[in-house]
Amino acid sequence: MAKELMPLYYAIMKHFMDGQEYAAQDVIDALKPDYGDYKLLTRKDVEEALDTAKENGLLDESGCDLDESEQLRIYYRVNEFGRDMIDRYIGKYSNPA
Amino acid sequence: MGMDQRVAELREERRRKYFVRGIAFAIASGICYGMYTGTLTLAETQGVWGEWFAGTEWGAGNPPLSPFVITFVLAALAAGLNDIFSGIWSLAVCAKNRQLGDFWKTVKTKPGLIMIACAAIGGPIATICYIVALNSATAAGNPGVIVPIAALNCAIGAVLGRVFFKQELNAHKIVGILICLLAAAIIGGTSFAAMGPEAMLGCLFAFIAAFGWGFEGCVAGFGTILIDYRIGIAIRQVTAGVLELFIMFPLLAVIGGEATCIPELAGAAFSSPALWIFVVSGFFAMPAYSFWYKGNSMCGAALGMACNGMYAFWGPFFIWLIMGALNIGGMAADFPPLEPIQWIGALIMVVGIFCIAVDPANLFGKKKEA
Repeated sequence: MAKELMPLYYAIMKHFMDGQEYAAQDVIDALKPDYGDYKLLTRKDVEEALDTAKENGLLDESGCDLDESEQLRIYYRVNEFGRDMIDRYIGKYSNPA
Repeated sequence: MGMDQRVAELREERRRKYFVRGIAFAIASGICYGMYTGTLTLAETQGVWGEWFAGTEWGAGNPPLSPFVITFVLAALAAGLNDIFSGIWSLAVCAKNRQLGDFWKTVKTKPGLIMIACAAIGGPIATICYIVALNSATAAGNPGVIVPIAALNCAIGAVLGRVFFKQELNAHKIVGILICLLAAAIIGGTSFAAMGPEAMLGCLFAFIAAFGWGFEGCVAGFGTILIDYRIGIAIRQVTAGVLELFIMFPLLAVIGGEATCIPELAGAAFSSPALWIFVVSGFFAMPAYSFWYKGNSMCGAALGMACNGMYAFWGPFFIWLIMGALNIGGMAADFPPLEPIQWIGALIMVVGIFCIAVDPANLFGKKKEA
């Protein structure tokens, strides 16, 4: 790989910058090709990262339902404050296409 | 049972688990803080450290150290050893989670640089002042006394948050800060009367430490929203340890006009068996700080700092437990239980911290609905 990937945490947050709503599993699926060998790309860890981002006002909860295995699935969407923070602090970092 | 009801139940359960987990982290940080303070105090009484602080000849007939070296240079050395070991422990945790790559990448980004700046204030400035305070209070006969003053960082953080980030500072927070100041006066007042000027110096430096940590808590809290807490704490401890050990320690020695003692002191510290106690104090310092950040980010800075602030209680408690009750280090007679008034002061401070953290209107009134 010519260029290195940004830290996993940045990639998780930046995944929301397209304005769509995602649940933890969606983020994992999307990042799997690049971050597949990361030990912390698990449902439990990503859920906690999203929950914490919500607690700190970057993400809003946009809904929840049950997934195929009857587990709770919470959807999140970035809000204005989150967009501003992400832009300002990690806006210039991106992964090689 | 309907589908919606099942979802709502699971959602509520998740919310509760997350909340309990956040509070557990914050409380654990305060307990680890107490254990780190207790072990660090122990380390500084052992081996060559005991001779240094006693102001006697040390090692193989070296002359006693000057008061300046004892007060400041040794503080930087002790802080550096503690933080560098805690940094190594933090890196080990990152390695276990295969985060070392991300650690290095994060250091080079903007949030990483903010973390480093916070570490420079919270480490070299606050930690060294904290150890100066701890040492002068120990010399005065009661190390536990300065811990509640350092715990004021929570109140100071709230004020700085108001000044710098326009965070709200409403009535219950102001009341809480006043209660904390009152408690500090109660605890400090007893010590001045009982122990004289050394304790006064200790209290002054503890207050500077509280200021540094208050600043760190408010800025790092802002900067770490985008960094995993395990990586954040590794950046903090490594930065702090390196700055203390390689900049502050020699710098303070030069300021004190004792540049020649740098290699001697460093050599003696690294070959003393007490080094292993610093490895242990660094081990406790890691969760003390990382759970502080984690707790703050999980349940909000106010509540997180409130739970963490209970170390006003845990600090004196573990110093007494390790040095007094368990008599590790063989100096139990020097570490009697705290005076009742000091325990009462510490408890009042916990009440004050709680007032800062929790709006009584939310606690007793209508539950806030998101």
